[in-house]
Amino acid sequence: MNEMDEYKQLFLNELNEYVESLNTLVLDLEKDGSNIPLAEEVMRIVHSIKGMAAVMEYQSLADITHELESLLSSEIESGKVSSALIGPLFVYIDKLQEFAQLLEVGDDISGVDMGDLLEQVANLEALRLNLGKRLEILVRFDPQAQMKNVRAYMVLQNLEAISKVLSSNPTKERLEAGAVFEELAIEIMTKEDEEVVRNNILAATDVIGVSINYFSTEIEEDVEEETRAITSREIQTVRVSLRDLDIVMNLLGELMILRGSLSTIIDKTVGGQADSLSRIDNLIFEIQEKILSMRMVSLEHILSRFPRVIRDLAYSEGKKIDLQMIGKHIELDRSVIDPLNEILLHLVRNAASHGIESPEARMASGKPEVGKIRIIARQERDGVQVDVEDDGDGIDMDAIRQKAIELGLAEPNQSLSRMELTRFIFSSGFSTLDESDKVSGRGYGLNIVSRRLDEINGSITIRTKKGVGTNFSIKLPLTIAIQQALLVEVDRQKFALPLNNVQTVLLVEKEKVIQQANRRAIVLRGELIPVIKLSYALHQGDAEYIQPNELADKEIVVVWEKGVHKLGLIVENLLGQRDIVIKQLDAVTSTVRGFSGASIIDEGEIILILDPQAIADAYA
Amino acid sequence: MAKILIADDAQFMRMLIGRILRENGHNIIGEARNGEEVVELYAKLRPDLVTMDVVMPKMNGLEAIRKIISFDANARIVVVTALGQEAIAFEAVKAGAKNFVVKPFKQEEVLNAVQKSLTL
Repeated sequence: MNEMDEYKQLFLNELNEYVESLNTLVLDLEKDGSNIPLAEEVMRIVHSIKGMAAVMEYQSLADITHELESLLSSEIESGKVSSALIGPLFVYIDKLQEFAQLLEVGDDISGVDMGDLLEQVANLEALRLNLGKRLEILVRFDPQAQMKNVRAYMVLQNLEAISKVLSSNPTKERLEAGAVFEELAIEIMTKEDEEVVRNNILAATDVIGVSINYFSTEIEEDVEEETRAITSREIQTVRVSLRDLDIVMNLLGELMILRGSLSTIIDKTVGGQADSLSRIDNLIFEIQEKILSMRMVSLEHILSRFPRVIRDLAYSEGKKIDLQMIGKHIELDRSVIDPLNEILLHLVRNAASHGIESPEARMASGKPEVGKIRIIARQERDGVQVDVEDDGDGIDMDAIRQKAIELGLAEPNQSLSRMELTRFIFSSGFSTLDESDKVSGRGYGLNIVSRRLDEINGSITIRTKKGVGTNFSIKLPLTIAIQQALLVEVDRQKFALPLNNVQTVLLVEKEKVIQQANRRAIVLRGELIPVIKLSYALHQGDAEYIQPNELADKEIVVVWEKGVHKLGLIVENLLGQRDIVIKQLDAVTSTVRGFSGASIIDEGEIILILDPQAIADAYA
Repeated sequence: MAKILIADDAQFMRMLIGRILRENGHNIIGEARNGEEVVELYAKLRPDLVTMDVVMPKMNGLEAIRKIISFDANARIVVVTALGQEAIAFEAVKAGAKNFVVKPFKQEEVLNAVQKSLTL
């Protein structure tokens, strides 16, 4: 790594951290533009980015950052950051992200187009220079008024004659689309006196109240302290790449193997166990625990981006959505975090664009105007449960049934349980929406969810009620680096079977193994479950043709299940269950079907982890 | 006391609006029966305000508003529209109408809309 690369890496790391902080800060700033300490924190970060970009000679980034910084600075002087600056700030954050992504793979950053942002910023600057003071206005209309929307529209139009309207809620477009509202909130820049503005608004009939506010410059002290706390916490962390942690973990594995052979040598020369050996064991165990805990990342890491996502979605779809997140402190293994991020993003976007109805529709059906989406994470004994629930329109089961029939997944007259119907939602190409919209509803969203979940050994259940809402409940293992496994023996070789898919273990008499076509099966609680002999499967033999004389009087059958698939595996011996640390197989061995990884158990013995899914697929 | 031009194809409405305004001190300087007439009269009479029905023969109210605004951007036009014609009301406001009343209206509503528009 040459010196420049090293700097680039540092720049990237910092940039990524800044992007994350900015997202949170600007979201808060949007809620309260008069929070000056917050705005100053944003400016501090923007200032740092400018400095770094200039040193790294990323001129376009440095330039736009400079523009934003001076805008921010004059806004801070005026006592409030206007909502008109929030949009460009978010665009800026997105540009930073694009920038970081391009830098991650190379040096060509010409792909980031700052043009539109520059234009937005230039407009804002022009505005600041020409248009006097900023006013925040609330207009109330007579509730009995006819065509309230047209009147509100008229107020906005009249204001445009004497001021620059920065924003309004509802917007003109939404008013025309029939938005239901109680008050019209407007932000304007004007050189006119307050009285002139007031009269201009009162010229519309049925206006019963106008309140006009200048932006104040009150400083809230607690916020200042909070910002300080954040800053000091950041300094105490260093970034370690996941790869480095994996390397350390692998080195530890090798240490365990060496320890195994050392123990044999000590056995032969000294005889008996040495004290220091068991101390090494303890140390290895402790280091392993520590590394695993270092891989833990709190959910906050991904959840912090969600308010932004929901804000943008709600804005573009004209919805009102309140996002609540509970259990942000819960930690999960890094390897689970990224797939989970994708899963949650899909679910939350689905909830926002398909679940939550428009404010008008909600009010018409007697619901609060603001829709609610909640992400609730809780720690369970054997993992983490994350629920994504909304109080939207729910999933239309009849539509699902129709679609399933259309796609040939179900027969027209087939009776389907709710469980079965919800399962269809996760099939690929399944969407009850006809057109694909901006974010979700492309039909493969939930299919991705189920695939990502498979990767991290998670599961999902849906509860939904038409008109009331939907709840997606995800269950995740704490880490996929450690799994509970059942150790079994076949041909005097030990194998591990992931325990989360083991339904039960049975002792089956030879006579109970029945012949079905030319396959073997057992009956468990009235259900026919195919059975194969694991030793045959592993030897690539014809596992399904089990001759009666090849079966012992009693056989141990491990019943494995995943979704609707079930398979009985005949093993020779059970060695109990234990937590195993999974090591990925290298490129060569991972092409061998039937194994998902390897692990090292006591005395450095290496065992392979069975992948029943692959075995089941081979015999399906 | 303002000079007002009334445009409506129904004589009954012209009389009704005219009476309300006259009783409150305004001066009705002209009545138009369709869009063409109101545009023509506006140019001739230069009233302080026009009350404009939307649905009229020859040239409808929306078009008449646009015509009038095109040669007098500050023209004060109060649109008379009917319940349920929200889309038309939007169009009228976009075209430059300063205010509107919804039929069936109360006397004060017409007066109010006219008075308020005169302050602009």
